[in-house]
Amino acid sequence: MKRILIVEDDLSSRKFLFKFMSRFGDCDLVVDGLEAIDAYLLAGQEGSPYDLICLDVMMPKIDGIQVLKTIRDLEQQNGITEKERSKIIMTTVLGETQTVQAAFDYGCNAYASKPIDIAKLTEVLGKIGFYEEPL
Amino acid sequence: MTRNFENEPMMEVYIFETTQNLEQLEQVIICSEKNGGFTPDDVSEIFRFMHTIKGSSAMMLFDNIEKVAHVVEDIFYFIREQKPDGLDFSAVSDLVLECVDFIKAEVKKIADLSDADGDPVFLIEQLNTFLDELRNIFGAESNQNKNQKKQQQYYIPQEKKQDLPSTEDWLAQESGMASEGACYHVIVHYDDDCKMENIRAYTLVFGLAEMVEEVYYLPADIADNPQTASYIRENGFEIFFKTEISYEEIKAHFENIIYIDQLLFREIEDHRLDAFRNTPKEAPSIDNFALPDRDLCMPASSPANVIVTEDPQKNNTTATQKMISVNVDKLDNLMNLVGELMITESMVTQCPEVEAIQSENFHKASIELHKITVELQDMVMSIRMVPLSTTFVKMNRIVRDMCKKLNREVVLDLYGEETEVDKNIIEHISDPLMHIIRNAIDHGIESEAERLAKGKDKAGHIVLEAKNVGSDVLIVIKDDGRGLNKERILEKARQNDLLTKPEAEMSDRDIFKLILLPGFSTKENITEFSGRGVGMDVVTKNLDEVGGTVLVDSEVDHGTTITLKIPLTLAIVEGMNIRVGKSRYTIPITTISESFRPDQKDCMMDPDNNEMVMIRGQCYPILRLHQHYQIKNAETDLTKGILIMVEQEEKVICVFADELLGQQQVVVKALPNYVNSMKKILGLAGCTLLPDGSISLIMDISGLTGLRVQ
Repeated sequence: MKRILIVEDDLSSRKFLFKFMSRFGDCDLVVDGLEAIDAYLLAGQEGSPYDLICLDVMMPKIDGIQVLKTIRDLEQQNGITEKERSKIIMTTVLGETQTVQAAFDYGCNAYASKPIDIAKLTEVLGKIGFYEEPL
Repeated sequence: MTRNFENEPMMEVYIFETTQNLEQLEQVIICSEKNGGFTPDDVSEIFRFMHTIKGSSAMMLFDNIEKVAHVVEDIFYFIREQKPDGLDFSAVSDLVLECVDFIKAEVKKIADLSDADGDPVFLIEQLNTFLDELRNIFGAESNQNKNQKKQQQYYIPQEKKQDLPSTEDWLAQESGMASEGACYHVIVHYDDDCKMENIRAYTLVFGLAEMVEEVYYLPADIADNPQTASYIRENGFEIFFKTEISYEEIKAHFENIIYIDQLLFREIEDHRLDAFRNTPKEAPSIDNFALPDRDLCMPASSPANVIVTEDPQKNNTTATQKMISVNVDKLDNLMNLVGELMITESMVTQCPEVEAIQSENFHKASIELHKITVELQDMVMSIRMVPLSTTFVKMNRIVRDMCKKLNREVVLDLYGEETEVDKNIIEHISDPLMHIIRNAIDHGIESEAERLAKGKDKAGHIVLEAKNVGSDVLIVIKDDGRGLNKERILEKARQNDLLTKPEAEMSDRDIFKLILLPGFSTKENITEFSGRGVGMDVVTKNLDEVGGTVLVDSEVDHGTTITLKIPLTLAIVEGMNIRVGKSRYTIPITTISESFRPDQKDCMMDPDNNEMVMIRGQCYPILRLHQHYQIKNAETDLTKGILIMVEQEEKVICVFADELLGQQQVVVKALPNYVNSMKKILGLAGCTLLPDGSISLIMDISGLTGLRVQ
């Protein structure tokens, strides 16, 4: 079972992602950036890191871009290879090029603009190697 | 699927960048073809362009574009690595240009909000066959560098500094202390530009919490307060903890953390932790490392530092942007606003009550206001001005393609491509130019043998020239081909019933102008490029839209010259205001040749009961505006009003009005939609506001001259 972390402060988006993502794996839900980092670190300590993290950008406490950067830095620090790293998909309404560029610079795997296009998201999940066989 | 670009700047950027890349790519290929081969620089440039297109297309999930770009990239990778001798450059160029066209078409689809669904399989097969052939001939390239490149496809990898800071120097001297429950005090300084120090510190403590029994840190509110980031940057992050784990392990733990610049590590007495222990904690969770002592929270640092330090990332992004691309709609709005401003400015300063004000200061200020508005207007106009070079350079491709297909040699010379015209106009002349040049090559330039027989240069020459003449821009397209055949044009016109007036009355220019009519083609065979009679009428249609005119001159065996005359801008017109009854009209000053009050004896009726006026032995038709627009209480006696002789496209007409009001720069506004939707009014180009607040209609002279002739 793949582990998925959904970071999203908006309830309806969270529910939506949860329902959609549940067919790919076991979903954990958190509501802000700080919890996301906590959850990520905990999962690391438990020895079963997340395979996929869906990150909102606009969130209380710590925003998604910072969470992204933190996670990528931690992975680098712990010597996790490129292949084993968690796949991170940003899910946000923010479409400004600077935000998107920043997210890409910090190493997110994909950037999904809300409202999320499910077909494309599924396609991307395949492309970034999150699952091999089409469901 | 619907896409709303307003919410997707990424899509906009993608379209913009890809289009630009494609255009540049095209130029590089055509240039290198002219020079007879790809230089290594060209090859890597093409490779780079294709790589960029491939990457961004993959990112935006346009698979078909990505695949095509990928194969082209492969080919150029091969060329770059193998540097094959005797490569068939023109074959490569053909292939690449075909791909460029494919991608262009797809990008167009995306821009039009439809799906990019073109099937590239055929193209890719073709490319792959070509590449295989190359490999057969020149040997396979090494794949080493390439695979590395492929990793970048889906996203842009992190750019990280790899050097882990040496912590050795900062370690305390004591070693091998495996004491039970030893206490340590660590001060961590992060790298200058690592950012988000507070979150880094948070994760550090999180990791540490597992290994130690007690941990306290300064500042305490790192998780909730982003301001602490700059505090940590200034003063370092202090951690106090007690652990049973050996010094080595702890040390190793810290050394493993990235971005640490300095690490101050020392053992302390257990009681030093008491200060922290004494404070009551609400909940002993890892989220709640409270800090007891206010003094410890803010030691020896001025809080001002926290405010002064800005996020360096922000500075970076603003500093790199010197050029911005602006939505044309916004510029149109700005132009409109400046127009309104100018009108309001003259409404204010020319108001009679205001003119009566005796204050010198006020008049100084109003002059200043006028100066600034005019400057503002010039500035906005200059923002909208775009050099013609991009449009001109595009013609290279057309000439190249046609030469290949028709097996002719044609040299295109560009002059004055730095001439600037309004952005709207550029959009309107690109198609006409293309059609004119196609026609020139297809019909105008003779075959090689024919040219040599006529004693001309083997290669045909087409000159494309732009220049400013007064408030107009002239674009001249001149070829040295066989010229237009008057007889054949007339014959064809008779066949297609396109003649509007007796042949005897037609001047040479009138005859040549027939070629611009829709459905006109003297060519018997329809080719890929011309002969269908569609095309040249686009020239007139598009130029009409921007208020331009076309002139055709030709000389048999010496070539044809087509001149496009385009106003520099559409937005502001130097006009003559006239009055008819209570209505005001504005006539563009450039069309007025003279104004006069005729004598009764010069006015006459022609046999069809049309009014004419005789000036210096020439007869001109009269158009009574009050009749035409059914205006009451206007002057009806020709000798009491005034006749204004206007000329456009060599047609002359005398407009009858009550009086001239004066000359003025007016801002052209389109007629409101509710007027246009009611009915199409002939002879009006738009409207404007006069300083006294009244509305004046701007006359479209070419429409008027047509009216009277019909």
